[in-house]
Amino acid sequence: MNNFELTNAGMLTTIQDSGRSHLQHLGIPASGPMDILAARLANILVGNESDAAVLEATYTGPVIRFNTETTVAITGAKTKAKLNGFEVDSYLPIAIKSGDTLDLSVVESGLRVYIAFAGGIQTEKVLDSRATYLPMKFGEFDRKLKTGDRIPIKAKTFNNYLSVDTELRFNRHDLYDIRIVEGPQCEYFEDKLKQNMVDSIYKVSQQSDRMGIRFIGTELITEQKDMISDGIPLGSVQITRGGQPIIMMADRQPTGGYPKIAKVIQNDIPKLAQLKPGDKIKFKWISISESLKLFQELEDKIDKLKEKINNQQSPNAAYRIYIGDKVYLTSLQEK
Amino acid sequence: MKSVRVKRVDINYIVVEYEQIIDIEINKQVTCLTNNLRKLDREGVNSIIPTYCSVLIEYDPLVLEFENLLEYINEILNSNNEVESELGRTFNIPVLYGYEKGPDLLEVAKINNMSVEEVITIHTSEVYKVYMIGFNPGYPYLGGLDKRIATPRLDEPRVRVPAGSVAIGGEQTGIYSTDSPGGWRLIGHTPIPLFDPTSNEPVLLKAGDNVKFISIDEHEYKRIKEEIDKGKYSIDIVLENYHE
Repeated sequence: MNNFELTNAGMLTTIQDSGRSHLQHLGIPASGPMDILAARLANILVGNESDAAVLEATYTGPVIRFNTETTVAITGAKTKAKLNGFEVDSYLPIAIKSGDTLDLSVVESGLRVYIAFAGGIQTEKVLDSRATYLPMKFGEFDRKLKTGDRIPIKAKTFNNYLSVDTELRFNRHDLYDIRIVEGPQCEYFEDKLKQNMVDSIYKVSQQSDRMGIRFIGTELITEQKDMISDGIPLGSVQITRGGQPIIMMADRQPTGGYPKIAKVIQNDIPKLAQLKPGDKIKFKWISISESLKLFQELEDKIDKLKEKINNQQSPNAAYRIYIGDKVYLTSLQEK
Repeated sequence: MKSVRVKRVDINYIVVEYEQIIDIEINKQVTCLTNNLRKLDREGVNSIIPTYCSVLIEYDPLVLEFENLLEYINEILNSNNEVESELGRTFNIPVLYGYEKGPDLLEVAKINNMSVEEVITIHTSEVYKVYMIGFNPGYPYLGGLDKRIATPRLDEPRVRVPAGSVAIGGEQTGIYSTDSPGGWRLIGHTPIPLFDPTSNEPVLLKAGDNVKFISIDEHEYKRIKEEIDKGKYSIDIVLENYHE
């Protein structure tokens, strides 16, 4: 089996695919990439199905040495990616030759970087998935990856030189707007608290991880009605006894007993994945029909990107053009 | 159907809520809706999570429209088909009470002013209902602890409770399915794995099952453990009619 080697694993790098959503009734967390959009785009750029396994790197990315020809794509947080020492762009397919080194150790803004490999990562599936759930070791690579790890890949090539529109990419903001709709226990909270929630600015706490993102801000304390544990949707906003919001993310437990005042709309979940401790957000209530409209607009854009890629003819030859300390990837095509 | 609320949560979830109480009859309705939805096997339904008195359904809005899914749910809710009679399973779970892996047994007896033997007799005489699976992989929420052996949780939770620990926390009893932190009082240990990620059936119990604890001695514990390690052990399951 072909593989790549992590000559530096980065701070927290794991393997993620579409996860185990369908096993949540067994108490097994869904897992999967935190930034579902970035992981999906990375897979599209290298011609993969959307459930192919990718690398998710947190805080600092890995340094990868390739022993084989393949195609990769980098998405998510903004990195100063380097291919054999030359700067290379994200959000486009990169043709890799055997012996290449891809250095993602410098993340400029955002938190999580995704790297997709044409053909996908080929580690053993456990419980129908290659996704890593950090608290538990399901399979050989279900852990934080280590320097020196060799990760099996199919190593297909996918020659294509399209890029992704900036509006689909991660964009840094000083204050992120996080749009929410009513959660399952919304009526547990008085209108005044729902108003307080959107009038305040919340700061991301240090105690955030793949299970949940915790916030610090105006306390939303209500007379706690005891609730009976129920299922937890991805992106739901739980209010703890201390009155602080926690947004439940990929590795959340499938069931829980804190009331869920709101759910972050599907479109804004990728934004949450890129929040660093100290980043600021503002919640905004919207309706489900608005959420659906935003979702459809996003899906249309993704469909267009897929169409462009599928309609492109395979180039005859791929070239690397080095200008200064940057490498540009391009191709020649017969008319 | 009385007091059922169907709530849409964003564009990809629906939650069906029954009367919010912990009750066997309501939990049976939860199981019934879940089983019917699974039988339908609609494309676009990504996950169904049944809990004590609600069912959370996750769907892919690109494949399945809200209105269609709602129709399926309402059809099942209105079909008035009595909770389908299916075979209820009772698992006889062998437990070594006390010893190193049940360090709180004596304390539980003391707090409740009885002997260790009485605690074991009471704990093994109940049949416990599995209301739901959650919290951790394969973790069963059990109902039916005899109040005489209810014991407050530890003031300081343990950092690591080993999988298989049988415990009492307040008015609940349970079995830790995986190694995890926990504040319940550990009264014994079962060699039976409740969760095995490499197995075809990774989780032993499911919602609607029954559990009965059987007290075993150290010899028996060792024997069962060896059989499990060799892949030879088969757990004692009693099948009975759901309606009994």
